Amino acid sequence: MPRTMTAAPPERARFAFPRSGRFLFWGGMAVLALLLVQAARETQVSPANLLSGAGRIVDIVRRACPPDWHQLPREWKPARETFNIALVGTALGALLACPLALLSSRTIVRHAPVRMAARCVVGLLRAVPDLVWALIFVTAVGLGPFPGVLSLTLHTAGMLGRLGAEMIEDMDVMPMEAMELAGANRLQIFAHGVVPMLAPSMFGLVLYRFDENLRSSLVLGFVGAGGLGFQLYTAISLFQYRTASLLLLMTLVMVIAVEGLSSVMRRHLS
Amino acid sequence: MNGESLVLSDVTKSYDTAGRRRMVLHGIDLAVRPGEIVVLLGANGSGKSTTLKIASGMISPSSGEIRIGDTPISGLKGEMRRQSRMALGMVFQSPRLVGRRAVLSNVLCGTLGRHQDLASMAGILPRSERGLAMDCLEQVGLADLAAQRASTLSGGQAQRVAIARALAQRPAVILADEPVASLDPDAAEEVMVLLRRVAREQNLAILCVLHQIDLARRHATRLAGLKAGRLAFDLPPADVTDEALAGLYARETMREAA
Repeated sequence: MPRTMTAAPPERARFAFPRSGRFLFWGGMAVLALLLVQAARETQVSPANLLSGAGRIVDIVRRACPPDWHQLPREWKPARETFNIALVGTALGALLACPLALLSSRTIVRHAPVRMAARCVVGLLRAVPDLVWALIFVTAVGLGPFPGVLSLTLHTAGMLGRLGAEMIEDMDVMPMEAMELAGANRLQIFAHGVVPMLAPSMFGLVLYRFDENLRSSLVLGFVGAGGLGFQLYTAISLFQYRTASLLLLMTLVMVIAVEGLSSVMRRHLS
Repeated sequence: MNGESLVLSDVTKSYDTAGRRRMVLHGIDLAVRPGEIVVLLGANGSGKSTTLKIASGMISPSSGEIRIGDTPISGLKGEMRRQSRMALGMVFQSPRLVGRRAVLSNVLCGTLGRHQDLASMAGILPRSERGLAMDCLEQVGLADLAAQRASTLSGGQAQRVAIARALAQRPAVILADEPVASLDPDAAEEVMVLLRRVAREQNLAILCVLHQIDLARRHATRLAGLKAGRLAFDLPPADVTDEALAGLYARETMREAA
């Protein structure tokens, strides 16, 4: 019986690049390392500064403890305001996003100039951060929650408009084709095909956006757009660290609660 | 509109690719009478799907005419085309249902072409249409699943709902493009039995593309063999020899078509 020759397995398998790939890999790594070093120098990253400042950080934390619970009844109103800014901003943004998503999707709009115009609007709304929108609206309509609502509305419309358009383009169009061949008109196809197929995913996105907007609305307060953020900015500016820690705790509880609720609802939807 | 024939007269189709004209269909003459199931057989690229797409109005023929009864339906545009589509029920390889909607709602989609008002967009349809949709579900044996979500159905059940949706159009003709391709043998048999029954009971003309020769032999009224875009035969199953069928799938068929 002839003996079969089998190659002995190597003792240690080695991940190896081809010769040209090896040069590219190490070259790329060197460029990346250089980029990182210059970025760290430019941004003045300094462990020494951090260490020397550690004492002051500890001091602030010490002065922030315990939170000033007596302020709790007074801070309910701004907390509600933060929640409401996020809620109204998300709802209005979602409403505005619906026509934008439809108009910028190739599946629905076959007329390229209309689609491109809608995409430009969506791009602009997304590209400008909500904080910048808030600064613009604070200047335009004054301090308070309203500029916060407006800035979240525009940014949310941009984000959901883009994601919605992608969802429409990715959806299964075959049921809609079947309806068209059965004689349904475009509005009927939209109402009985597109809406039921997209609504649950779109609602999931809106919930996710609400969760994000709640966090954003806090930062918006720093530029005068109301809510807990405005209170926090004032407390830190006046060195009222115990009030600031209370506000941070309230924010934490609110964010965790909304995050949990939105995650449960999204799981249920999917 | 039930009780009218589907007629394809001297239908040709050609495509211009890279400056060369490629003939896909060469003068197809085919008539499907009420109550008949005509099964189109042929190798890939022989022109079966093109024939079905032309019959459905999805693509226009290069020449020739398609009629339902005495009414020409090729080359129609706008509202006339939409109305002609009501007379043609389509059943596809996949059921193409809206998975998140109830089975009954999917069947009601077949009636939308008769209602162009705003109420129909909100899903408000006359009670009679609801009754018709339930009747159609009854015919395919799924009335008890009317309230169930379409995404929960098995492949065979979903295809039967697609047939019910086509029936809800009250069509004269049903065009079925490989309706059993994704089904197991038992479900495929069920679907073909159902198509044969609705053809007979509702006097519908059914043109169906199939790849399963045994199913075609058992359920078709006539077999139409397509070879490189030409009609090779159009005969009752008993008159189609195994040699004639083997000829359809011979390798040179593919080369000729290409």
